[in-house]
Amino acid sequence: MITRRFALLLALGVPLPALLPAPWLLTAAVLALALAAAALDAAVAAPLNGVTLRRDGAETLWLGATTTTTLTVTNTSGRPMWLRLRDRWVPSAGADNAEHRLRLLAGQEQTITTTLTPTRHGDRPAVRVTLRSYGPLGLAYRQRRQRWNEAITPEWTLRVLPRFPSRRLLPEKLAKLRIFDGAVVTRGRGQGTEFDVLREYVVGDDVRSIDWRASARTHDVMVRTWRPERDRRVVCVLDTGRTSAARIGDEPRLDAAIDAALLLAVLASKADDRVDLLAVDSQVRARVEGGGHRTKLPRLISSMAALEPRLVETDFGPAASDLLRRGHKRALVVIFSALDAAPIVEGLLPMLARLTTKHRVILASVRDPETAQLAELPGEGASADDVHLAAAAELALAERGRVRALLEQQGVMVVDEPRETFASKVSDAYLALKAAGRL
Amino acid sequence: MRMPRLRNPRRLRLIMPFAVVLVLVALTVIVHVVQQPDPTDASFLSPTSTAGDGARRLADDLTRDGVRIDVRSTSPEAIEAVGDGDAVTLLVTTPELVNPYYLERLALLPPRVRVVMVAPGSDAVYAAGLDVVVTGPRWTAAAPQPGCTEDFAQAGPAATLRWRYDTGDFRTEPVRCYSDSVVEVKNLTMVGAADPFRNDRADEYGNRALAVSLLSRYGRLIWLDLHEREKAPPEPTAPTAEPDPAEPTPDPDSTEPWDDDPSNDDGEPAPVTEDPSGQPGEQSNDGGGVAGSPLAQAFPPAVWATLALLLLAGIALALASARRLGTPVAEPLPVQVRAAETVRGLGGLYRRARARGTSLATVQAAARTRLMVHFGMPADSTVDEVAHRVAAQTGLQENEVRHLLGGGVEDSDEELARAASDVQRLVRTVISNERGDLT
Repeated sequence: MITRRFALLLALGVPLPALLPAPWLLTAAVLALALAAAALDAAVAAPLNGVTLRRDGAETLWLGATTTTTLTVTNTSGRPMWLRLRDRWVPSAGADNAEHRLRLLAGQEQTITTTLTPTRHGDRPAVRVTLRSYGPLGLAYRQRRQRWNEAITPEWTLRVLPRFPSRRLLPEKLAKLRIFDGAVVTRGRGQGTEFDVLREYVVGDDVRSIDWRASARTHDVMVRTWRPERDRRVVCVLDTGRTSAARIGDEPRLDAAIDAALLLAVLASKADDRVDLLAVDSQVRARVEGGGHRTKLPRLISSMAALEPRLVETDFGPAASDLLRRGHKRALVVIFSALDAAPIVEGLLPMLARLTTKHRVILASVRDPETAQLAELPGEGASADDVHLAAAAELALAERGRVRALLEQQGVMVVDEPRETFASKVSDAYLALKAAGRL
Repeated sequence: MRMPRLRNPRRLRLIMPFAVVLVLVALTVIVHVVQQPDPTDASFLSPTSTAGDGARRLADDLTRDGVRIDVRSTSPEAIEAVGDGDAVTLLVTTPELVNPYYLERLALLPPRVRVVMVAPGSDAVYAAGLDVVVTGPRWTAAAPQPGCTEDFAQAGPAATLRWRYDTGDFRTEPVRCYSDSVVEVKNLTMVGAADPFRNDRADEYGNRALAVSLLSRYGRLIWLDLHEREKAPPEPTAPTAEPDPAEPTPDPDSTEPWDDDPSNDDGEPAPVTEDPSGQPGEQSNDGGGVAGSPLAQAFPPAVWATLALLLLAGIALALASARRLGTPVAEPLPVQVRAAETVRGLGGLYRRARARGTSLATVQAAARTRLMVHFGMPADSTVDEVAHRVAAQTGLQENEVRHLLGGGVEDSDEELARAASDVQRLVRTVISNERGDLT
């Protein structure tokens, strides 16, 4: 294929037919010369088969951070190579400096760096590296079909982990956990119902905890210490249906839910509980269960990263029957959804009675402050439109209240909080249950 | 993998409009062709056929006018039937099917024989040896004004214009009527469309009158009812030997007795045969003279050569710019819904329906609920009970409060806005426990 330089060459030949005799012959001569030069150039250009590509760099990244990946281009053909390449990522990968010009001698390799600042969580693949090999004169180049370029592009996917702003709450929550875990001496002993160890009595211990038999055996006063139950099961059910797409503030409801679920998962893992994940809309989108303690958390985060809202109605049926069938052990089921009538009343309510007898259920919903704002008329100069909107908002609020009452009646704990305190309140609910030994 | 799926609908989108137009055009053309009468049908302009494209009505009319009709089914028979007696009209209904040899002979018949040809095309006219440029056919036959003073032109406008016969600078002044669609050259009358002769068109315009007056000039009509393509005479020398000597001799002689009607034709066969041979020669000279066109000669070849080179350079530039270094990458956008979308939708519906009563009632009900919660009243308290408590706290008139909390609305937007604002202000005042001024 020809370059612009070829067009320039033709343009340079334009005065010749006007100045010299036999204009048509000269035109043909200029064209033939240019074509011959271009053909020669294309023939001399290094073959694209002689390029090997290798990619390296970070594979995971928290959303909001920036990383770099490198692409190493090696010229394995025996000729020098003038290369222009474009490294295309999906737009949301936020790749910059996509286009590069390289000059590679035979056998030489060169590394180009792409800086990525993703704008969304999930998998951000590198789609295609397109190569163009120029001849030494720059009159013509070789470029192959898109499919070929896609085939030689090294597979690379950057997994962007969701934003986790509640990370900053973690020390506080862990401190709370440690307090009733007994790790921190506060009021003498840890709370909980699970027997931990026997130790010698020290002044200040609760005399009710003295184990008289052990004291008799050891000729010393022994007390029993307690600790919260361990190895409980926590199941986070994330609703990725249409209600999760609604924007609360700047982000969709799902992102707030992921943030809260992450905090809960980290906390529960630290408390030696097992955390499972189930993401559902019209079908099950992600499921993480089993596996070792160590590897569990990265797996959870990784699967949450790939979740995104879909415009479908959520069907809690499969998730609920899953929980009822497999969950031999009593678990804390935290459903991250919205207090909207349709999915809850039609999807969840019929199975709720069975679910609550078997498990402890929390429904966590990010409250949308906009509805409450709409329900309130401006102090001055309210118009009829505002009143209509306020009436609609009041209806929505009333409906939310009804759903909430219905759920609480069924023994479900409802956490309905604004975005700022949402993750914290969900964790608090977990910690409160744990402290009370009611998991 | 994604590309082919994306490309197909796109290609379809591009092709579909053109395909639809093409199919419509093709259908129209097919329908038009099917609608056209076919000269090879036995019924076409047959004096015995009562079908739409037959000519039974015309034949009956002519018989009533005292014209004797001889039907012949081949050209030699028709030419033979002319005989050498009285003046006679010869109607050729399908000149396209008549062998060129006989067409030439028809043109050479003596002036006492008036040959009427129905819609001859350019081949037939050329075969008859006439220097006439034929244009057409039109999509349908038009009915122009006669525009001449011949006898048959008394019929008024008739549907004759499908073919147009341009006689140009004919040596003898021909008769030209109906916007050149009825033309008489020597003893030949050419009618530009079959419509005036057909049964189904006889009553339109002056069709019947025109056909009758064209064919009833003399007491005898020879009707050549031919429906298949004629073969060339088996032995050209033998049949021509007989009429040939007969024709040239009557030609010059016959001018005297019959030149009352065919006033324009002097019957000169010799120049007629020369004319067509001369015409193509001129045409080929005109057609072959591209290089000698005035525009080409206006500038020296150097200018043209320069222009050509510039054009080539432009094309090369376009080609060089056209190829991209890889196509842009597409990615589905995330689903995001505005918060309180349903609330706004419902508010919009209220506004459209002008449901002022409903809106105000909703706002009032919400206000009552808040007040009941505030006062710790049972949920089934009536408006009166709530109004009583509010009046007791705020010192307002109980009637006024009752009207605020349960009254209807006047039929105006201002009234609605005022009433709703008052309700909310009342609630705010009560809950913040201040004695506010409420009007």
